[in-house]
Amino acid sequence: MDWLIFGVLSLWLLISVGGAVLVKNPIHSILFFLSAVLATAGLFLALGAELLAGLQIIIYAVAIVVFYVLVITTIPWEKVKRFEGVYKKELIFGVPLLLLVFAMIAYGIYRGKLHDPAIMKADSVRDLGKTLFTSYLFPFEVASVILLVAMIGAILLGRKEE
Amino acid sequence: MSEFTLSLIITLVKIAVVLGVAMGLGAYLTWFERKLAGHIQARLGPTVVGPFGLLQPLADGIKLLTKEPIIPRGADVPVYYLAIVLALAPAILLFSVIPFGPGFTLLGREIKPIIADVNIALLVVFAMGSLAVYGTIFSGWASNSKYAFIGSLRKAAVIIAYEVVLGFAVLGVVLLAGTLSTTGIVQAQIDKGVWFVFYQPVAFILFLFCMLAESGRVPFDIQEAEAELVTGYNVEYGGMKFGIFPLAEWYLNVMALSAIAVVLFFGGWSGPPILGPLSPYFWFLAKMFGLVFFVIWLHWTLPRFQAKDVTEVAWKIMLPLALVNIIFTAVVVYMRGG
Amino acid sequence: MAVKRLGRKDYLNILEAIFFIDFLKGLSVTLRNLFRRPVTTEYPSEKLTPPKRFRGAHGHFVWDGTEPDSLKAIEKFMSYEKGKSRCVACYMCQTACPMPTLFRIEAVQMPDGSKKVTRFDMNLLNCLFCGLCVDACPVGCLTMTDLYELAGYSRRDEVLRMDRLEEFAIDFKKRRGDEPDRIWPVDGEREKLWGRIEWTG
Repeated sequence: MDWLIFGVLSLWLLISVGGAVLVKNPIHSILFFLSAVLATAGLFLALGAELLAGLQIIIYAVAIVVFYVLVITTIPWEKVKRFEGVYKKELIFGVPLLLLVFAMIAYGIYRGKLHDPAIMKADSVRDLGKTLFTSYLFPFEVASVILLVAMIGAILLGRKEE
Repeated sequence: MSEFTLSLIITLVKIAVVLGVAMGLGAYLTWFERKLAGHIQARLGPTVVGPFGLLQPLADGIKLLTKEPIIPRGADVPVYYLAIVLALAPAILLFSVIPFGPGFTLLGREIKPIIADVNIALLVVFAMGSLAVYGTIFSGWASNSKYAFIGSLRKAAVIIAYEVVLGFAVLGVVLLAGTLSTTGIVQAQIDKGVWFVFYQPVAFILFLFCMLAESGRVPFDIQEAEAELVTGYNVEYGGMKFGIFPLAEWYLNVMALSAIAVVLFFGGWSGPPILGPLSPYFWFLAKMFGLVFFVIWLHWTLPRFQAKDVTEVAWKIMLPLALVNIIFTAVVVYMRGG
Repeated sequence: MAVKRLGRKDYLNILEAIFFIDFLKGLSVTLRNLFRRPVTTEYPSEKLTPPKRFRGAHGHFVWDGTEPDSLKAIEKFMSYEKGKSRCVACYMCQTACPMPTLFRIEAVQMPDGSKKVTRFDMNLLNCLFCGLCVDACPVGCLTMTDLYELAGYSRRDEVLRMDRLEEFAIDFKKRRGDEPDRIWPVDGEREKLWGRIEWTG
């Protein structure tokens, strides 16, 4: 039964990612992206990583995509609709790189042990919190400081000249 | 019959029951709200269709379903329709993590009256609450009308502000209960023998305000703002397409968030066993509808905040309060060796 | 003129702000209203009787011996019939009317020299029910009745002719003629709706 759920979710994911890349209307593209994020959350849930799925929805599907949507819906529509053609040069560099990365990931999955049900914990929230605030406290705090700096910078940039 | 099929059937039955009850109650809340609003204003409310106007929701439904569908010119049709789904689905999904009562045994199987007893239930609540913002944004954007779009932008500002406060307000309860699972929180209150509203009154008030903001109720209904924006983001919708939005936002969302508030602060299904095995359900529904009544009562009492005040209250007053509350709670819990 | 500026603290002290006293006050008001008896009249199934001086559809009082003394002086110049309108076609109502074209009044001279009113039409579609025509009537003929359900299926129905005017007034006099000419016949009734008025002095 697992393969059916996995198959449906991955098909959904692939379709929405393809749509996000190929669709011309930016709002439709954002919607496909949202759908891709939700499908990823579904995949996480199917793999038993509930916390990751919840965070995926809250952070990506809501916090980040909402800001994309807000920006795209409020800027003048003539600018949004301009189609700049297919990026041919970028495609030439991009496709080999993509294949390379894909091959590397496939190799990693094939050789390594990324998903092992035996190490799954019942209470992943508590374990994750403990790990985050003990072993990885320093990187975590550094990340938050970086975010704070980015926020201050954004506020300074966005402020009106006085 | 295999174990998997059996659990699938049980889950489907639960979904059917919860969906039917939620949608039916949601429809009847329209009748209840109109009746209550009428009496608060010394009017009568619906009286004509059926005894006490009880068949009014059905009549409204028939009216809405048989209306002519009109789509505004320049609307983005797929997104226009998708927005309805995006508004309704999160509101319904909120019900999936609400425990209506303690687990019981039926034909030798342990059955919990909750659709998905996951240990990230509260995260699901936040996620669904904020996913509802897409329904409003896309409905306003897709209908190609500036009133609708102003309404949806206001809603987005409100949601972004209040989601943060909501998360921080609830953290106090999570600290006390030590879990994110809704059944776990209720169990913690039953074990401690006290409702968390007595430990966390500030958090409860913050939660109540966030609940009002998220479900677009007065005093935070700036995205509807009948006087300024007609009805805001759903102004270009007609017929049942229009009916879905208030149903999802004003009724389903309010019911679900009231249920979450009952779980978090009022001890869930706990209460004296006055109805035998049915008393947990009775207590849960009674507390939930007490809160729903309070929300509707507040709706017909208070005026509306200004649009700029709503976000200001959230960021400048509520968020600091919530942070202080969390720090205080954490210190107390740590001192007592939680 | 000096303007006194008030801050939030001047009308809401800190305790009231913390415990939402203003919210609670509002909630108590609405709760009290919730248990009050509704004042609604369920119109098609319950109909209010308006006060006697209500300004509804117009009517013509008829010549039946109850008219004021002033009319007696001119009775012999008019060709009145028993139970028909006592209008003298003086056009005072039309003169007083803010929308004069809604009246169409015609009179003829009878062979014996007396005056007979042959036509008195009022187009109520143009009428704003101000009652100035009633005040202007010198013979106490034109009146306003308490009929307020004036909707009709065609524009022609909305033009009141003399026979309908007479009908309305006869009916009105039969029903309400004996009541004192006051807006509220009973003080209690007024107080029930509008509250008691404390007159000074």
